[in-house]
Amino acid sequence: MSPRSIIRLEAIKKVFTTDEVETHALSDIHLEIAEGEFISIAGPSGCGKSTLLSILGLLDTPTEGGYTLNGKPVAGLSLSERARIRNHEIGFIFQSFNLIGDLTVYENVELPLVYRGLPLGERRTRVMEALEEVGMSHRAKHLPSQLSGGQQQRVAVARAVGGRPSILLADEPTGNLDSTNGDAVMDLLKDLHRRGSTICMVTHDARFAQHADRTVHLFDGRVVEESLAKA
Amino acid sequence: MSLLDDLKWALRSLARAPGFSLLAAALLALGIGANLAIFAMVERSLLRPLPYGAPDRLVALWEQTPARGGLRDYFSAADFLDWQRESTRLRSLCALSSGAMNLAGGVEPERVRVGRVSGNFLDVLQVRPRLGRGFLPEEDAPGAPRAALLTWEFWNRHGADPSLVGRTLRLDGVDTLVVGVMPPGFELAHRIAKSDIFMPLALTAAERANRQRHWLTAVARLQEGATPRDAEAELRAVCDRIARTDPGTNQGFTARVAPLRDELVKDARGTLLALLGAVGFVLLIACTNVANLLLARGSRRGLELAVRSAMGADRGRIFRLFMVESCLLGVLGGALGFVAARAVGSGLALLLALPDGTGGGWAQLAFAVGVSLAAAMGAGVVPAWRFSGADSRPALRDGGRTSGTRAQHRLSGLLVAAETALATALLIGAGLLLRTLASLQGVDPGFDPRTIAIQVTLPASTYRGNAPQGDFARRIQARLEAIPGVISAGVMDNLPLSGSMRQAGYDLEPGSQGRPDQEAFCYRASPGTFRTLGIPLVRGRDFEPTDTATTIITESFARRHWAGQDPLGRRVFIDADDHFGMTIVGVVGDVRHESLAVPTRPGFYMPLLDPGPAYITAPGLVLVVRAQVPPAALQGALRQALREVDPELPLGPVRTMGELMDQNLKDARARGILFGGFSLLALVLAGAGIFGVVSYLTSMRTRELGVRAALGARRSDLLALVLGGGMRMLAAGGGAGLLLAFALARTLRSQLHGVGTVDPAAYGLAAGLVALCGGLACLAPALRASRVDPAVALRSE
Ligand SMILES: Nc1ncnc2c1ncn2[C@@H]1O[C@H](COP(=O)(O)OP(=O)(O)OP(=O)(O)O)[C@@H](O)[C@H]1O
Ligand SMILES: [Mg+2]
Repeated sequence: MSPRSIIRLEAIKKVFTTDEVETHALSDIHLEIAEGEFISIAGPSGCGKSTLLSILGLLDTPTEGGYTLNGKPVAGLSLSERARIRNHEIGFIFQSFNLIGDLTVYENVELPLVYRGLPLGERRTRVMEALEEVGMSHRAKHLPSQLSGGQQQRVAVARAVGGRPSILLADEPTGNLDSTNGDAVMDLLKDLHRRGSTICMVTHDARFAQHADRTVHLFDGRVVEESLAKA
Repeated sequence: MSLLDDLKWALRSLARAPGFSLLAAALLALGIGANLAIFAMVERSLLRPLPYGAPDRLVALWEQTPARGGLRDYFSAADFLDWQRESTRLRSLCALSSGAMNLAGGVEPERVRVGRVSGNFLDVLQVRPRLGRGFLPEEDAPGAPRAALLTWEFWNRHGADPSLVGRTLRLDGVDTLVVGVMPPGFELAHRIAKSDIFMPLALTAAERANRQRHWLTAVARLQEGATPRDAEAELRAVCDRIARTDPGTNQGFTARVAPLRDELVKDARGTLLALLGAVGFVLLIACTNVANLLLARGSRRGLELAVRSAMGADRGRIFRLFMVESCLLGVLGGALGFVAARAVGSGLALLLALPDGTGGGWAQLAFAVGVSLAAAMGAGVVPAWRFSGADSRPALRDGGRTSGTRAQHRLSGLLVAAETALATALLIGAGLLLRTLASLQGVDPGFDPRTIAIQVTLPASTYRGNAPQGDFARRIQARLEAIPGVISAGVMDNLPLSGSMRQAGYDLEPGSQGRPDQEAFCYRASPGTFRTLGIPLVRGRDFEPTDTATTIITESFARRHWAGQDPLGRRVFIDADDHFGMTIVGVVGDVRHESLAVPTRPGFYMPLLDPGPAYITAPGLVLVVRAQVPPAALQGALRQALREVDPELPLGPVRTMGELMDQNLKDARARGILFGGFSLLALVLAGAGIFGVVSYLTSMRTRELGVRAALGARRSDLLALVLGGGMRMLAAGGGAGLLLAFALARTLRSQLHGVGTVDPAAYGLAAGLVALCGGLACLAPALRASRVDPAVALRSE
């Protein structure tokens, strides 16, 4: 039985138009991601990795092409439906952590759960579970500025998984970390994957890419190669 | 539930930026406070129900006569009685007049303001006395024992003794029964002075038949289902009928009916609404400043907003977060403004001579809450709309270091231009009103402001007719002139700018030019009065004690009828049955009688010491005194002189003519000061706004400026670049402000005097002030920009 596919991109094209200059960030992308799969996206700077990820995460819309998420086409969804899907189905991890400085660790992790409208008690359990999972529960009351980079990224991972999304999107999650901290975060992701999470990660670093089941190589907005992990 | 989360986040975010929060709240507080202070007066004067039963059913009546043109005229008792008899739309009518009487029995005789009313007035107004009873029908008849109702305030000044009800007061030498005391705050001042006590009109048979003497005003209660318009149509028909039967007296007369409230507030309304408009502008400016603060702050929150969006907050949710923050600022600003408004409220009420005091708390509280939230939303909506729609991806990519975009800078510039426009328009409005004040202050009243004037009420019981009044005048004038320090004295029967005027129709002998002026005034004066008042004698002579059937005319009267000729020796006839003729013996300078703002009308004086025709008579006289010593030093001697002539007569307030002029300018001054104050506040707020935005935009351009400097731009180039940007906003705003002012000035037109709506001085001065203030506001950021260090600027990326 082949695993159900969570994401299916068909002939995705993305063109940015600024000051009459057209940038073809993505051209004719076909991509299918199966449930429980861990894929990495690699390629040189400017090849369209982040653009692809923001399309996957419904932060941006493709210029052309079809995108089916969990069996449902996302084209034509309203802005608030897209926000709802981001909230329920997708977890984000960013290179620069992007925790909100005004909010405590606890509140940062709680944020997507508030937007989901979960009752207070359930929010509490989920936040503590997620923090437990990344080993940050003892820092719940701290502000992001009181944490190291690696700790901040672990909080960001907790925030991403707290809402139990169907897919985790990570854009160079280790890019701003030294190798020790990078390894720690990578271990977290591997762990999540082992327990069934679907992960799509952008990375420059071949060392980290090899942990993925599959690596998609982009060049100049096109998929130039797909390689399976050497088991 | 989730709103609570927004509230928590908003509180957190405001608490993390206390400087920003306090500044924004203080700005809102200024605008809200100004609005609350003015609204409190609007509420008390324009909105609060009148202190009568079912006040919406009460109307005011007046007459329009050809002599007074469109102005409100009093009406005769005969006309009033016909209306009362024939009207079906008015359930009940009550006629009013006012006068003064002398109260004896205390240490000093006291002058008491008396409201003369129809006996049914409490029924018409649906008010019950607090103590005692109202008037009985038989008390409203000539010759009946006199009865009086005291106001609560008068009763309190006189000991607040409940047993006063049922006892008598000696008024003008007649025992008057106190039948009751009105409730606190009761007054009835529809075109009559405020009263201390009320007494029945008790119209005599002669008064009931008289259609010549216009002396009554009235309030009435509408029949169920009738409108003021119905009632007016009906009374007009009655007037037409009277005009047919009595064309000699009532030709062209017509009746007017309007809601009583509208009539009572019509003078204050213009000023208050203009002020409400002014503080509205101030609030708009404050909101614009807060909007700009929010924009600047929001652009530093790019990352936070992007993360919220990525986590599933939709547009509405982010919009709501911003609005919740603004509302918190509004609540804070509203609370501060409420306190501030309470603090300045009494002062403002004093300045405008409007009722001060408490009560009406709910309406004012509701307004406070409403205006605070409206201000908060007004300030918050543009930033909220802008940031909820912002593209979040760039912020996510580079860690939130995005600066405001070009669209946002344009938005800030637009807001600055808008507040500049508002401030400019307000300054121009203030300029026009202040020029009006200056023009009124510059008006030559035609008399000497240093002259002292004292009003004396002569009770009709002892001074019936002109002969006893003339006798009194002769005796008091001699006493006054004997007081050490007094240079000269005189007696008149009506004082310029005192608020009352008497007009008389007249005829001319053949050979005179022009038609008689229906609004010519007619006063009586004793010899020496003109000299004492400083009214110049242009031709002929002053009155002499022995003068009979002579008259002294004003220059404008002479110009109207004998231009280029000698009026001396000509004759003027009073337009009445006996065609009383008077020979002109002198011409005196013109005087502003009605108000400093109303141009002089022609008029003539008759000799006070000559009995003359009985119908030219007055209920009181005015003593005028020119002295070398200040009025206060004369008080004792004046009282003594009056006591020697008639111990029953109280001494009225001792005032100079200058004080009367000042009183006359009160409204114009209050308008000028308040408008001026609010427009300066607006200017400062706008200046602060310009400073804030230019500083912010400049700080956003540090790198660009650094690059320019690195590429060889000189300091002066950078200075000009920033100043130029600021000046463009100022120019756009100032230009729009001139147009706005043009519209605003038209609404102020009725309050202007001696200055057009397009007054170059006011417009120029306002534009200059805005340019100066705005230029200064741009200068600091521009100087900072010109000193930018190219190396640092380049490193900062
Ligand atoms: N909002 C935008 N407007 C215009 N062009 C854009 C925009 N976002 C991305 N691009 C362009 O699209 C192309 C792909 O950008 P993208 O950020 O996806 O690259 P990337 O592979 O993530 O690079 P890096 O490894 O440096 O992060 C680039 O040429 C970029 O300049
Ligand atoms: Mg990228």
